Amino acid sequence: MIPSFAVVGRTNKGKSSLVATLIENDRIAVAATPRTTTYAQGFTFKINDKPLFTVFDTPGFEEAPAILEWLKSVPVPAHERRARVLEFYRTFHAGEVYRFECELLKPILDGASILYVADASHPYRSNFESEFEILQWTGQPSIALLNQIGEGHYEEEWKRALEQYFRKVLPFNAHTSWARDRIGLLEELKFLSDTMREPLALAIAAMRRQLNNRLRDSALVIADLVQDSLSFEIKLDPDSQWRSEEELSRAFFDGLRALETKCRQHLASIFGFHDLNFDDSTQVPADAEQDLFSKDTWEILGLSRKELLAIGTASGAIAGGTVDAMVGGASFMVGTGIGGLIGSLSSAYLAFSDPEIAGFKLGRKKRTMGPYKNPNFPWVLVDRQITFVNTLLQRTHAQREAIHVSEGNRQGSTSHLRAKDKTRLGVIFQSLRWNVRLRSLNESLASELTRLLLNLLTPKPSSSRQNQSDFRPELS
Amino acid sequence: MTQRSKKTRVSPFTMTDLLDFEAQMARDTLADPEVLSTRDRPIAPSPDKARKIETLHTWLLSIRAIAADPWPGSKIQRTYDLMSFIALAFGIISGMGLIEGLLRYDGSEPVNVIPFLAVYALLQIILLLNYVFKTFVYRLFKRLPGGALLYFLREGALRWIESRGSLLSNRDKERPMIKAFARRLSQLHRPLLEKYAWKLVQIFGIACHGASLLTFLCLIFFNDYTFGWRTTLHVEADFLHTVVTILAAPFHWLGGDTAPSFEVIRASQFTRFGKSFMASGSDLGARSTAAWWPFLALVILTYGLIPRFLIWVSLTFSIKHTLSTLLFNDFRSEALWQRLTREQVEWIPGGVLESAPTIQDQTLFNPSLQKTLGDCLVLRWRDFPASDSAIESYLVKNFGLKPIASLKSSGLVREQDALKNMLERHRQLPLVVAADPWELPGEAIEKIRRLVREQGSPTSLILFAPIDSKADALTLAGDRTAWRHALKAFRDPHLGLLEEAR
Repeated sequence: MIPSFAVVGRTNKGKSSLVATLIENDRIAVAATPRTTTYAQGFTFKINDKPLFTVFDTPGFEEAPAILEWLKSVPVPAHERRARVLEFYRTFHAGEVYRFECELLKPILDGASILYVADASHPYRSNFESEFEILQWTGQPSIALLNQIGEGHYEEEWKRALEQYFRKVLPFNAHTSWARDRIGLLEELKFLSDTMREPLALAIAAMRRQLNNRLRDSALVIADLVQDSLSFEIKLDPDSQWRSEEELSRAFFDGLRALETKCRQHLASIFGFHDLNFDDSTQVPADAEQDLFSKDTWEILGLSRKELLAIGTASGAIAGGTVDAMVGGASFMVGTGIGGLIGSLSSAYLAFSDPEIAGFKLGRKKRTMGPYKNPNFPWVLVDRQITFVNTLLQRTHAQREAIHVSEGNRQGSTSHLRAKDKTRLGVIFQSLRWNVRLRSLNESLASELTRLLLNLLTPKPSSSRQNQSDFRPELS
Repeated sequence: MTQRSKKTRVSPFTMTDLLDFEAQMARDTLADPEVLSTRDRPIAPSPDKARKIETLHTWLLSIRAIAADPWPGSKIQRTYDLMSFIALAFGIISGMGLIEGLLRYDGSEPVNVIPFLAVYALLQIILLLNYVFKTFVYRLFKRLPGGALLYFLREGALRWIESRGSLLSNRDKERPMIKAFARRLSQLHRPLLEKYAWKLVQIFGIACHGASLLTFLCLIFFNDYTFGWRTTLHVEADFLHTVVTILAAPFHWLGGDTAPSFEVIRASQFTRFGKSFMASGSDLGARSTAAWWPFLALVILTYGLIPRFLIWVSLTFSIKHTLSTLLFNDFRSEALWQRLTREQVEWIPGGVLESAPTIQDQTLFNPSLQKTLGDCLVLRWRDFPASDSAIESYLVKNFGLKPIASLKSSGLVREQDALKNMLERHRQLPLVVAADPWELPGEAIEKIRRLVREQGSPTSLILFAPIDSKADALTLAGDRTAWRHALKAFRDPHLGLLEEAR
């Protein structure tokens, strides 16, 4: 039999939220109304179809004082208390009375360890002790988690009370926990009993790998978006519905926005967000903060004009240098010089233009718009997706409100890259624009993006070298 | 898609497989990764990280066996085969027609070899140069009308694929996938598509030149032709001799009369005014009229048939090589590869997930409190910390209710007698339940509600007051939405929030 945990507590104290967060499932019903959960539901963690442990979501305690009264109605020595709880279950489990508590106790009486969830945002009351006592009578190993649903802070008084009944008391906010917190919680659960140590250690290692894999998958999805966006163009017959350049321009930028939205939906599903509400991030007016082409976005994200100029020059020089190399140096580096000059001039022109109007070409015979030439475009695009992934990393599966991705006032991730990495990425972007088929282009872009995404897990690179190596992806 | 450079393993992918693979990749573009993972898990071949291509091919075969959607590979391959046959037939007809046209001879004027050389030597050399420098020429001239036949062939093929929705799906809603399919082909396999287009052109060329050569030899054998040369331009015989010598260089080693000599060229120049050869009447002039044919046959062979055939062979090998060295390192193929080889980490629910409860609005709270304003009973629910006097002053001040009896309850059985007594004494009075805001009513309250209905009046009010007692004074709890929802679950029109009864 595999180890299991029952998440229990008073009704509406965030048990389902905790389970949703722990197992990363946004389809678990979470509501601010009581009795959202009416029966014990198990979720088994599996690696390659091998079950390791189960987490049970249970209904909340509703009549704990009355049940404890029933349990104590007959004097019972300590060694027979579990049997008394079992007797309670057998007496009431088939009927309507105490049905929620019976559902709650069932997995525990089957051997599940206890994860008691308390809401530390309201004061402690002694009537909770009846719940603690009932759980104590089951004799199962237990740990208490302090959730934070409201504004108040009563952690200390709760901790003092819970420590008398539970082996350990840990803070765990189901609505703000990062992946690292969830793994940390499992680390603590390892010590509840010997039987749990090995399966949980395996599960923790698998979860870490999964996190890396998700970031690597995200890198592939973002790379795909960059490739699609840099070659995106729309072609229309002259007699088509878009007659003016303005309309054509709108259709073009809407097409790019649609690509980004599709990419974000894909990223969300990679992180297990299947029912994510995208309203705030997709259906925005063009001047909103979250829009891909809003001026705010372009002022914060991407690279500065100076950097774009430098990278444009470098890309041009590399392209020219390739020509020089092809003729065996007979050109006396003229190619490098001319390439660098063209690169810097074109970057300068495009970088200093308005993002909405610059950088596309309009075909003559057929109305064609795109690809978008603005040198900052791929940088902004990458920064926005990294910000989005960061938002997903910080979002738990218990949250149900629409996702809000805001760049805030922080600069994008790409601006923090080393100059060498910026140049390398700039050359990759330029190669994609020119449709150059470098053999390792795909791998280079994906690994650069993976590196950027992995930095999200290591906010303090200088002090967390150990963590960095823990989360390093297994790049093939 | 790039190719592997060294230590290549022979890939089992054919063009049909590749097209089917890309079609499936296009179909999977918008699919939920979880759905894809569920689909691929049972059919995933045993992952061998050293055998990516074989694993992907096995996966494709499995997917093809279970998917109901049509597969485009065999259809496109059949269409290509049909086009090859048409190119072959058209080439034969063109070749025969062309040679018939060039060798038109009515006995009055000799067959002019200049247009013959223009078509079978000069044009072919231009076309061969175009093939050798195709990338450069393509980039330079692709925007010009007729500048690159290849461009139209490839674009036409992609357009055709886009227009054939039924190639990939039976369902209209999946038609956008066709565009993704065409885009993937264009982005990842452009060189391969170009090679197929070039191969089609070579089939036409081989058929055309083969038919031309055979027809030429037949016509030479069954007719008596007179060859000569004439042009409006002022061209001397020695210039033409130089051209002929250069053209004959590839087959000069055969010796004999493979190329006409200077004398033959000079003698076979035809003047239109006198309608006679320059060396008419001489023995050399008579011989020169026929001496051209071996050279002309070898020109067709050397500049038409052999290069076309060699290009066709090289393209055939090149296509095979390209297919056998596919890397599948684009982002979506890589994601598939990861999906197939990576360990499956998942949470499996033990049953169907519960859905969030729907709020029952049918039974609306209808207190009609105006008649009952005045006295009330108070139940201090579960450790509600305020004193009786504090609660009394709060109720009087805010609701005009004066408690005449008060009880503390946690829902214990032993508390029920006291509650029954209180209810029996004051049957019609509303019962105000003062509780902490987080103590949402559940089963324990339901038991009290039943007691009130049994012991008190069926229509007496049960009013809940979620009161915040953090501050010195009692205040109504801020957010009471959860309370409203919780109370609706009792389906009792005489049970509700105290504030709503005001």
